[in-house]
Amino acid sequence: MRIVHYLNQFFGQEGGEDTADIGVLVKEGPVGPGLLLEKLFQGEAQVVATVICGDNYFSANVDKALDEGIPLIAAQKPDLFFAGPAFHAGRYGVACGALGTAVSERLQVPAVTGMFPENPGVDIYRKGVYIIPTGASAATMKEALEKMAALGRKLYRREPLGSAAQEGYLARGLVKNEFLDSPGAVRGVEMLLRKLRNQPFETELPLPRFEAIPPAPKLTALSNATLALVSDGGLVPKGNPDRFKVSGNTVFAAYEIEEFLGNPFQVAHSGYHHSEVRKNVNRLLPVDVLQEMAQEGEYGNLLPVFYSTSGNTTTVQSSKAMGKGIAEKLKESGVDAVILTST
Amino acid sequence: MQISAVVDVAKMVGVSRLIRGYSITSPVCDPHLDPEKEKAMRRKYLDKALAMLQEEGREGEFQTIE
Amino acid sequence: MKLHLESVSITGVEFAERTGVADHTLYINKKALQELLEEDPHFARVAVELATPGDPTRIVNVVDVVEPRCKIEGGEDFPGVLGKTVSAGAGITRALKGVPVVVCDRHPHWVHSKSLIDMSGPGAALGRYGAMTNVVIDPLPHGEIGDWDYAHSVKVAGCKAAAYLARAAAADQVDGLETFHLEPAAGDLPRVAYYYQIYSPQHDARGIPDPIFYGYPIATTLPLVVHPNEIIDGAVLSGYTIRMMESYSIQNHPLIFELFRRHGKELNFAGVVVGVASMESARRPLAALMVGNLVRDTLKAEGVIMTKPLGGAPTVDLGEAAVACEQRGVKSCLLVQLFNPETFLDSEAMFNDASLNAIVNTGIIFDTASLPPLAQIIGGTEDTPVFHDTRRQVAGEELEVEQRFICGCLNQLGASSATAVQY
Repeated sequence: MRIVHYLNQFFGQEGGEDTADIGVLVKEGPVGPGLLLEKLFQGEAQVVATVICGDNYFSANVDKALDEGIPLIAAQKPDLFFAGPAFHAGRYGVACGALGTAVSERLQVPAVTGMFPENPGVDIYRKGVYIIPTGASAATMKEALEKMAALGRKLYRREPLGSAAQEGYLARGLVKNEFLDSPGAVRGVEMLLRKLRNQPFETELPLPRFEAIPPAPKLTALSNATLALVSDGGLVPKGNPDRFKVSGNTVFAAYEIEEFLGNPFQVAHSGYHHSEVRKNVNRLLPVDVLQEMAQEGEYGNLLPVFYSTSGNTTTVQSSKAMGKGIAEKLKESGVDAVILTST
Repeated sequence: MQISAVVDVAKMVGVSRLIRGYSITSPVCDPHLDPEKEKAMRRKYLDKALAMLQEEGREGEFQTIE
Repeated sequence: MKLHLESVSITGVEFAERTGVADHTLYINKKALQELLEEDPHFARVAVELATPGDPTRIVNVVDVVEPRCKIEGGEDFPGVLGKTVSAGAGITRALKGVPVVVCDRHPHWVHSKSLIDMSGPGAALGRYGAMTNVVIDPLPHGEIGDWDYAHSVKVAGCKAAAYLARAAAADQVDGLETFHLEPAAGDLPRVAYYYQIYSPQHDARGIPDPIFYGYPIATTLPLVVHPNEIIDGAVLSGYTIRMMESYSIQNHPLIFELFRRHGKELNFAGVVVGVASMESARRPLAALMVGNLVRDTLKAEGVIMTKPLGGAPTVDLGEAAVACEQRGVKSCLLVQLFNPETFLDSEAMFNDASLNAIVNTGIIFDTASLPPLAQIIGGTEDTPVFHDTRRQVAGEELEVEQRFICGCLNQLGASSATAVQY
């Protein structure tokens, strides 16, 4: 088994923060922690090459670093790719995550890295590369490499992988059904009895925690304000040209209001019954009233375009991404306030 | 600001200007009213919306049009 | 209200000259059963087939599974649907165990809500009916029939077949008896209630609800107290499509049976409150407070376990009802599902009140299974569409099927052992 290992300038023994600007380079064989990594495979595999890059160089231009690094990795014909572990180092985590994801996607080679769960690289790359949770410092190197090696071996052998909890990798954002020994009803009665007896129990669904978002400051000059309408009720022109999914949707689109109202439309949302909206779209998109109010001078003007999406079983992540995307567009258009209608 | 019948989810995620909508299938009016009354109800929702935009936001709370 | 539920365990099924049960084998006069069901003028014909575990058979267009049951004394078969509207839940009911009636609906309405049952292969392992011998009722519509009229005929046909088969067994073939009697148990056992959110009108096409309660729709009812005996004795059937709550799973309601099982031992089963999900926002806090009050003051419960149908809005409702109970000092446990296969478990709950710390996750409803083609198709043809969210697929092909459409795989009452796990 041929392994390629990625390290930053420090673990790659090129220097410290002073060499964080070095570009991508290759060394033959294992370097630093790579020696232990190789040993963990007990002759089954060799670290044939170590790719090294300075943390600043990589994070300053991830795409460039990838374009330079991936061919170097590919040239080594790896069976397995390891990056880091990066522990709590943010730039290093980003490099490991980006490379691991690219190796996995572009080279179809299994990739594993390791990071402290709060490393910013985790949220960005957890779906693209397997990330083993590590401690915050390199004091936990041995344990981290052992876990990385074990997972890597399974991936190489194409063994079926279990859940994040079973295999020890950080959740990748996929959820699947498993069938336990006990039906849900029995698990429920037992859980309730434990709760009633003040005995410890474990919920099967943790409660979400949402970051506090400070409210935007109030409008002071409503008479000049530009308002925009946004809706998550799934309004789309007939034919659903932007391909909103009726559930688990991840995209939004801008539609010119006059054109939308003047042409056939449909509702791409399978979570509510839309006959009332189809009979009168103002019940979801109150354009009639808003246009009158603009004419009466109640506020400045209504943006001629509305932003539409479909919000049925949308994940928190997608919702955040779409919200940010819509907000950016609205700011570019000089919008001061938004009215969002939801089904 | 947001108009939604399902205020619980909006409150949970911290929406700070929230009006409780009429129903899931018709957020800004009662679709069973006569068309004029239905439109008048929509107007009430939007009047309230504009009023709230001019007030400080309050996370986890909602208002109604009554 | 005391219910004696007799059971006759059936280990084999055959077509024969006369309908009857002998030595735990059910003999069915196919012609007689067909003629009985073909009395409904909405049917051109009704096929009756057997599907046995291991058969290379895929049953499609499945809209219900019903356990053969008949009323021996003290009531009517499927009151309000077949029989007169009298109370269920008392007297003597006889059930055949191990031979469910599977009901197919070939009318082209509601394609997306039809389920399937595979009798061999990975599908058979996933859905519990793959391990039972199923008596499949497969009608064909006669001429142009409206959606609801036909769906109602199909529902009635399933109940008719179920009652007919149950009557095949004589008293001396009964080999099991369970008695359901909600006498307050002695001792200081915690009183536990069940809040059964039984319906949500959010998908009612043209606003017409399914008649699930004694053959009557209760889509807008405020919370009410119903005796658990009634629920398991035919007062509640599934809607016109299964939606992970087929009639069989209500007749054998896993929570009600489990609460009765532990009644007098670890808990005092306090009773059941039935409710529906709110569509109007003004209604939600009203329904929630009523659940809280009924559970605490009428049922006098200290703990409550809850289930819901369908999707997101009912989940939010359930959370509200649970918070209302917790605020009244009643501890809650909720059975909910996840909807998005690409997500993180810790962002999926649709409520975050700290008191809702006991949640059972009964699975992700959109997880898919790959099912190879099977040689024989019952209840449809090779070209019968099977739901897929982005492309067309038909019964005769290899299928990618959401587990919610594999009948008996997932269940919102807690009959299934599925749970959603983070990958």
